[in-house]
Amino acid sequence: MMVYFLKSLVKISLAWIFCLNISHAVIVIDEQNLDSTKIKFVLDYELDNDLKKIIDKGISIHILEKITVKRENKYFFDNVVFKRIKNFRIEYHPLIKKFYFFEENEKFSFAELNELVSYINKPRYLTLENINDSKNKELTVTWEIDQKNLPKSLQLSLKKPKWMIIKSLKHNL
Amino acid sequence: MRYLLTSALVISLSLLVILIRSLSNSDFISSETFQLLLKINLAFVVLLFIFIALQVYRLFKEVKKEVTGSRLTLRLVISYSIMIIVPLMVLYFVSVNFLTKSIESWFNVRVESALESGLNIGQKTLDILRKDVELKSRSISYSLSNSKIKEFNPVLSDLTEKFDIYDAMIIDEENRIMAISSKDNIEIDSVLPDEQDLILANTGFHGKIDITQENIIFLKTFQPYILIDDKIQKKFYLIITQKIPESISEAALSVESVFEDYQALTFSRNSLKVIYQITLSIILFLAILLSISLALYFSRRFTMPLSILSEATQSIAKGNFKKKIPDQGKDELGMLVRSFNTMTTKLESANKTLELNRQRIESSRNFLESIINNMSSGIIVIDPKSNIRLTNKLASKLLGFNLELLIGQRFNQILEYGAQFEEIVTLINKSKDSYKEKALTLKFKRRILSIQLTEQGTGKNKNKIILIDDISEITAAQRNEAWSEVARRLAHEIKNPLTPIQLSAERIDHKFSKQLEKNDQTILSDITKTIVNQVDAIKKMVNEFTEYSRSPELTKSEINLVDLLNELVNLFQKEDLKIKISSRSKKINFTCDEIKIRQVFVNLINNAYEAKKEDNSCEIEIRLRKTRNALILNFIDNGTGVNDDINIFEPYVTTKKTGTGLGLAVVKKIIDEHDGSITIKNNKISGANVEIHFSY
Repeated sequence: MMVYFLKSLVKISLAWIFCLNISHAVIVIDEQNLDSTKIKFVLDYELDNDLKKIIDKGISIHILEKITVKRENKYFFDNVVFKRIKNFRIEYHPLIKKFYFFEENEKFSFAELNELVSYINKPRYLTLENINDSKNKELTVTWEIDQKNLPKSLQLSLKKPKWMIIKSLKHNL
Repeated sequence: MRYLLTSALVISLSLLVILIRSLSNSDFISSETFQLLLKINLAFVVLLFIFIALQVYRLFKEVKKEVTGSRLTLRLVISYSIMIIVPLMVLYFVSVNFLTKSIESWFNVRVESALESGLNIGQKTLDILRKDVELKSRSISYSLSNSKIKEFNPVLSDLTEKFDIYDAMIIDEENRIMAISSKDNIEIDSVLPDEQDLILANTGFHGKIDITQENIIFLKTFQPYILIDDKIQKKFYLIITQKIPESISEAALSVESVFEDYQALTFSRNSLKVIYQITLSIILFLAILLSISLALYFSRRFTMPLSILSEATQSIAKGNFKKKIPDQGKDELGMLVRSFNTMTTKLESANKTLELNRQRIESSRNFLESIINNMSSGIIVIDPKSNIRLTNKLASKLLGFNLELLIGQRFNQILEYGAQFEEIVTLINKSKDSYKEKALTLKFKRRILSIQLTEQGTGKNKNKIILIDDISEITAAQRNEAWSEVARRLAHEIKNPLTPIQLSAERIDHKFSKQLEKNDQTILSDITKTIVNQVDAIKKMVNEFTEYSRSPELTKSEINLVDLLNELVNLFQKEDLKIKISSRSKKINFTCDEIKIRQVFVNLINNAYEAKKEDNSCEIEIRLRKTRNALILNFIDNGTGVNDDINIFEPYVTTKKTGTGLGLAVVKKIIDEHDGSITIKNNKISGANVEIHFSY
């Protein structure tokens, strides 16, 4: 019972932290069979002004895409069925006035930041394998800025800035 | 407190050192460890604040309870705190101001504009280079448009060499490579154009700058041109890739990197200020709180000997001379404590001597009181202010009231207990003149009191001592002795001639009555009878005198008093006399001279009968009681009672017309000879009650 209470407390706290960025509308199950589930999601992201200023000044930003699938447990902590973390990077070179978006080994250049955001907001696909063995699963896709890879001076703030979380999407599978 | 404070001191100093050292490391400041360190410091500040708040609350409570030394401690704490807080605050504000100004100075406008200018120069240089490559590209494409397809490779090689081109390539519309010229081994895939680039090139010209992951800047141009070969018009694209010289590239990228760092630092300007201010504030609070803690500790330590000294003084004031204070070191306070301990030792010794003297005085006083209380005389001591200072129980008993209630009050107040004491008061008041001894005899409640006044002391401190003696018995004894002597003489001188007188009178009557006439015979007979009767009366009186004056020789035997009284009651058979004997026991044995005790009872019954009221019968109740150590007899009658003002047991004291006044005197004498006592008092309604008391 105590664990249940603690779990609820943690959930409430997390919900309070992410409430502004949590969305349930932009994850769609595209295709589902016994072995795998193909998921389409759109970040539908609008660049934060503070982050835009930071990028404009030529500061590199590292983005972490965290994808987790949890099996809900009523009285105990949830089981993590699947977890994956991917790295992205945004760079701007004022010398040549170009934006770069690094996705895994690929490099995409953009003349405007809006083009880069449009690229980020393109429909993205995810294939989860062997997760259909049980019900009550929750998929969470979170795009957030990797604080550890920010310049040290930008890590000075005692309070985590709101632009650190780009988007957090949830979907019950 | 000491250990707690030491721990707090060590921890806070360590935290301060870590915090101050960490400020010099910008990487550490931005780390989570620094934030944790800040939080630990903050928590410690809160803990220290709670600790100090508790200490201050305790101090205020002590001040409220007026605990010794608490006010001084509070004053010292406030003084120390002000002394420390004021310079610290000044230092803090100066530091914050200095720090803010310093941080602001890092972001000087000139630095930023210099960096932007550097970046602009880099951009302009790249533009110039791009335009140069563009011109070269146009020239090469023009030359190529006039050559044949077969000649593409040699022409391209010549031209690239001529224009110092790093890398050049010709592709047709199907993206097939027609010719290539490169200073390095080129990767075909990496130089092939994107579809987007070709679309842009179709507008006439397309150029772009790119940076590789190895931080090498390349300029790339896409130039379309038309070639008429064998009357067939064909479209080709000349793609030139020109590497920016490394010196320019490195410098430009370096400026860009510095610009990036500077911008990142600019974003942290406010955060830096806040962090430094918070850090300084924590340092300030830690320093202030630690200083207050130290102020509290040292104030308490400083006032502790004074408090102990004060408590010890109060203890001594309450009479505890054994109180000693622990040694407080070699300073002035220590000297004071040592002097205090010496003083208490001397005081203790003096107090012991005093106590011993007091005990001696108390013992002497008790001894004196014992003597005074056991004296056969009553004593009243009057001080020079005429107040009663001392008295004994006998004085109260003799005067008939509790004199102890008047101790400390004016002697004149004894007048409130009776006017008869006026003579004593007058005696005291008159004795203002110098005298040595004065005496007074006071008749009071059937007693004769001898009052003697003497003085004790000299000058103004003269005490007056009144000695009161009950001389009633002495007087009575003297009187009895006198009366016994008179009785013996009377018996001796009168009794002897009485018998010849009586016989002579009877002979006269017998011898001469026959010679006289009848009338004369009657007269003679009456005269001789009168003589005989009067002689009998004189004999009787003389016998009583004899009885009263005879020597007290008792012939004692054990008798039953109840039987004796019953026998007497039978003898007193009269119509107007009723005698009732009340006794719980029918047998009360008593060792006495039976004849004399019989005489006592007879005298008492006769006395009661003779004291009966006229036209009234006499009722006597005789009560016998035997207690553990006494035998008590009461003769209670319903007669006229006795006069309180006279001592009825004295010889020749009587209220009867025919009595000799010796009956009760003889009774008292017999009772005295049996070591008993006799008292008489009137009943509440009528009659008297005679009580005889024999002790075993």
